[in-house]
Amino acid sequence: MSRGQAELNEAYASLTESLIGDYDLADLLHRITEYCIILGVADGAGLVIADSRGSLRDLAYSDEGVRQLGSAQLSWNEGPCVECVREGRAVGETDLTGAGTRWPRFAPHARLAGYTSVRALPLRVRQATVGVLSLFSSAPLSPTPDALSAAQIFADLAILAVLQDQAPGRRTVAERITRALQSRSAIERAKGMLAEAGGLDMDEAFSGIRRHAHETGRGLTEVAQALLLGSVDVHVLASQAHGHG
Amino acid sequence: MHDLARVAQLMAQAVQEAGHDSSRLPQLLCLACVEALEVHGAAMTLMGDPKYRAVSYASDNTAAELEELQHTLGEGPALDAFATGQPVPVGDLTGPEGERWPVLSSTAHGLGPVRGVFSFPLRIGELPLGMLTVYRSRPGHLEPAAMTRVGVALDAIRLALIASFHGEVGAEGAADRLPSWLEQLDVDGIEVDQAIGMVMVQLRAPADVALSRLRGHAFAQGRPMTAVARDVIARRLRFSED
Repeated sequence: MSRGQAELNEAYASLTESLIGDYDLADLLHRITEYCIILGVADGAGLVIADSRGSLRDLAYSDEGVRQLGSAQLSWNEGPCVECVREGRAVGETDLTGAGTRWPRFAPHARLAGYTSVRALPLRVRQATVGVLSLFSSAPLSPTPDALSAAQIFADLAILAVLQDQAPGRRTVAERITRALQSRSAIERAKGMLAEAGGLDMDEAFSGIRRHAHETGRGLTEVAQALLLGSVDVHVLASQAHGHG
Repeated sequence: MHDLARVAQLMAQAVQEAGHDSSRLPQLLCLACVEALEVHGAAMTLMGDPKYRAVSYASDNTAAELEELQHTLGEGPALDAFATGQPVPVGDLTGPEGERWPVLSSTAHGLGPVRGVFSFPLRIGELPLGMLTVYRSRPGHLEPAAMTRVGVALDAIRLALIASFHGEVGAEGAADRLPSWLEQLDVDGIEVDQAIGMVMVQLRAPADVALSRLRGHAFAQGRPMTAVARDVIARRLRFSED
């Protein structure tokens, strides 16, 4: 291997760590808040989720200042994020200096943290507001509609991923993909085996597998796997299938 | 506009365009990758276990053929990325770097202008989910800035695929519902699987042996796996123990 190639490999390896790593939801959510800044829709961004009991909690934030503003709103029960969840609509304030009456505790704290405007976007699943994307700016920003929409889409996906991740007793997405593909392969392969052993077409073979599954009270995938592993003899099943044909 | 912002925006638009029906989601994500990463083509394979079926989506025919060729041959950067969990960059598939996969490298000429090929694993935690492969018609490696763009694209892909499993929140039975991109029947894959089953009986051998015989035949004849599979199903082709 040339020296150049070795250096190249090293560069890829170090990028791999930062790019691919292991999937860690918290890490991914944090990056979503950073993407909001990259998209130019905020100088600081935070994601909040409403849990099943309706109470709000922090999911991710781009920096410590945003985290403090987020948790302060939750403890005061005041501010754009709280209002956004309560009313299920986007809440914004382009000039926080004039928002003292609207949010007497939140507005001065936000200004102290260096922010002059705020936007809280609802994250909805089937009409219900289940989270908020908070966007704070220290200067007047004029994000393009496309950039704002991209930030919203990332935040929506993040909420769905969290809900997916938290569903109790649910298999992980990777497990479900693997099982779905394995199950389908197994059934088609078992059909092929039975078709070959019994001189059947694929529909007749499928009927044979279904009949056996029904008679033995087992699932289709289970019967298919048994044929593939040889614990159900394909030639025996083929002769039974002929008996029905 | 910030370079990464453009990537994020294009990936987000693909998700939006797919909408609630996720059947087009993987292909739209591939198309967005082409634009966002400034490459000629992109293909995505979702698989859990290389012994079983995989579903592939691609931005264009060449990307689809490059992906299928790797599955037919059982070798290539995409399969290596899946197996190792590491990116597999190939500056020039038709040059010395491509010699790690001699058959693929010599066959890739026939696909058209495929030179730089870059495969990235898609994983969730410990579990591999599949891989993304992009190619360029010119040789050369991805610049570090391009790698950062790939990171944004991979984040969007992972999030979009996970989110597509959510189904309808709270709906009964939603927990086991599969997203439509995974539900839809993949005709090519079905035929290959049926042929594998038939060849298993012909050879009295397990699936991996049947698969490698089918692969060997497809390669020797220079034909796609699906064409060979159809011949087996139509009883025009048999394999025998030897």
